[in-house]
Amino acid sequence: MRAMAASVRGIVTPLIAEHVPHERELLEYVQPLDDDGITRLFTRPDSDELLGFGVAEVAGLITPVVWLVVNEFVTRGAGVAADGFFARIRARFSRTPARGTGVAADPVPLTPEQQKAVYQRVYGEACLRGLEEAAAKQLGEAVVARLAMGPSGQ
Amino acid sequence: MTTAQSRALTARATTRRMLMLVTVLLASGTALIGEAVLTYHSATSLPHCASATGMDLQGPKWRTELGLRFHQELVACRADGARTALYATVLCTAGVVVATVLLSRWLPRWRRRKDRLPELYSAQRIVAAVEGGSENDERLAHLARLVQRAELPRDRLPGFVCNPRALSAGAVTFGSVGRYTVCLNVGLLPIRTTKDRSHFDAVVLHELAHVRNRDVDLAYLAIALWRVFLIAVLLPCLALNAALVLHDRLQGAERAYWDGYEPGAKTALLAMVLTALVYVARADILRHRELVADRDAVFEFGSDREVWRKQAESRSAALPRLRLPRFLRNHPTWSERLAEVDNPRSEDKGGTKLQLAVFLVAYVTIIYSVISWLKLDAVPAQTVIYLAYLVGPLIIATGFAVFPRRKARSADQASAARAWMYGVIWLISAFAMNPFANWAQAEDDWVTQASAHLREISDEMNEWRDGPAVSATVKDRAVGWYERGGSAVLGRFDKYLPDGAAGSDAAGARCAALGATVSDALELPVFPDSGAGGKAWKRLLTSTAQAQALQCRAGYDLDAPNEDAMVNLRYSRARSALRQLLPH
Repeated sequence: MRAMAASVRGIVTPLIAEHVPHERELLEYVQPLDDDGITRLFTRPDSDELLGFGVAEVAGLITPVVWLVVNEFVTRGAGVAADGFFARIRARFSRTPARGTGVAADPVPLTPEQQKAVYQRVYGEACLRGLEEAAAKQLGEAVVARLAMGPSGQ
Repeated sequence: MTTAQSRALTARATTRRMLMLVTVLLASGTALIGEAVLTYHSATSLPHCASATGMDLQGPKWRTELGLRFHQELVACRADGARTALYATVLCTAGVVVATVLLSRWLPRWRRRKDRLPELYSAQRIVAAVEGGSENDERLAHLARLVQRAELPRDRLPGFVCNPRALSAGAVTFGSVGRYTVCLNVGLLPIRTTKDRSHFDAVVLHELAHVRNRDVDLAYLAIALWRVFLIAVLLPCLALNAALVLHDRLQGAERAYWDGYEPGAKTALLAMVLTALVYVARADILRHRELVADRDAVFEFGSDREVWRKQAESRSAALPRLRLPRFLRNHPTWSERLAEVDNPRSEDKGGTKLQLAVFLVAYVTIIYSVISWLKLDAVPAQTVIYLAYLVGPLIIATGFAVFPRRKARSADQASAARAWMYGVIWLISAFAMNPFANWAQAEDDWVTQASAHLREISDEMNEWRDGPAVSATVKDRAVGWYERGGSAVLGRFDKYLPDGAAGSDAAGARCAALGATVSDALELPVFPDSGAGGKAWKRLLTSTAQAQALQCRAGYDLDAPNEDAMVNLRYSRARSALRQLLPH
């Protein structure tokens, strides 16, 4: 479980450093959290705090998109159907509480259709969050390529 | 509207809320602590007082109630106990204040430790950066520029930390006097170098406005106060109330309490209302300070108001969520905040209806508590008057400040001084008539006696139905009662009860003699007859005690025909009851 958990961070950090460098400090400051904690951070809505600015939304952060896609790939069970995989990703982007299987298993390599869907998802969300089109394309391709190599990167 | 005018209006609105919060806390704290301490003391000390004075509290309820009000030694014992309980109340209130101050200083430290918030820049580094040494750190230089825009005094410059567990593009400020920390959410940090940089600036400037306006001290005091109120005031009060009610139910015995301090639904309801009051007053001031920080960030520090517009139009603001009613929320909604930065108020229309309602309830609570203490003789009326001189102007100034006005006043009109002036004038004229000293007595005289009068009429009607006279057979059966002190006490009543009009002759001597006779009579067993004899005994004691209390109170006007008539009516009832009870 630990090894599997470490791999999400291991996959996402270089991708962000290379394609979205201005968000490197985000990953740097969430270092104290474990991977589950970071996933919760990216899926759970904040609440108002006394003397806080309030729950503010800016169309900017791309790291959560990449993290959640990679996390779903790494933690999904072998028998998970492709539509379930994307349904859960969609649920997370829409900030609706959704739980994974809770069981880490060897991920099944993505089929070409799934690769295409992952690319579309990352590219689309990155554009929506203000990344330039070319950079968004590069990021989508990099994520698909990295997932195709499996969690260990071999 | 100039910046100075805006600040004057803001200061006035904040003062209004602070006055309300102080009044509400004063009312709630003293009322609930007093209720708990006095109820507990009543439950524990009353049996000791009764046994020390020879009064049996297990007798009929009317006699116990009469004894608690008119038995001289029992009343004196109760007054001693009530005074002790009142000192305990004052001490507990002081303890609550001390605990609040300590907690308000400890909470920010605990929060920083609990959340393990990594430090970005200490306050010292910010000071150095403001003075020109940012060591090529672009982010530090950026924050230093924002701190300069906020024109913070050097001793109030905050440190900056990061919260890795909050993704929203926001921040929060915490700390205690002189040591402030601005905590930037991890989701805010990357935005600084993007096209949303103005959002980063707006968030930080909003937080720096909180620091400049000393909202941090106020907010942590409010948080600490709320928690101490819940844990040290509300919880013990409710727990004690529930424990006494349960204990009495399980024991099946009716325990005697001081008048007005019986546990039950009344106390629980009072606790709930006062808690809601404290919460509403606290939320009102916190919400207001958020709006002030927004206004300062936009109009004084030059933040881009488009940031507020974007948030008001954002997806999350439009999501249908389960929201508390406005008056219960600590934080305003984005649309309220946008309205504030788009159209800042330029006029003062006084307080809101809610503020007025909160204030009125608090005011009534304070008066209720004071009257209760007066009735228990826990505190001399003169002391209450001195206290009222001290607290009264605060209450009255608050009343003027929160009263909603139809006609708006400009920011230039100095109203606070006028409100205080009205308060002082009102107070001096009011106390020239000495109302506090008479309130408790008046309430005691008219409300209690009106119901007693109705009961007496009902008793008399029953008496006509049952037959008025106490028969010789009943008196023969009660021979033991007569021999064990009954005759002697009846003889004293016969001696001291006036035959005709009470008049002013030897009124002082009659007061003392009748007071002592009633006290001794209350120590006797009840007249051993549930029919006419028992009723006559009850009427004799009740009417004499009431007439004696009326005639002997301070300020009794012997020449006032209405007061004289009330006293004489009771004495004549007592005399007729006595005639029935006297032995053959």
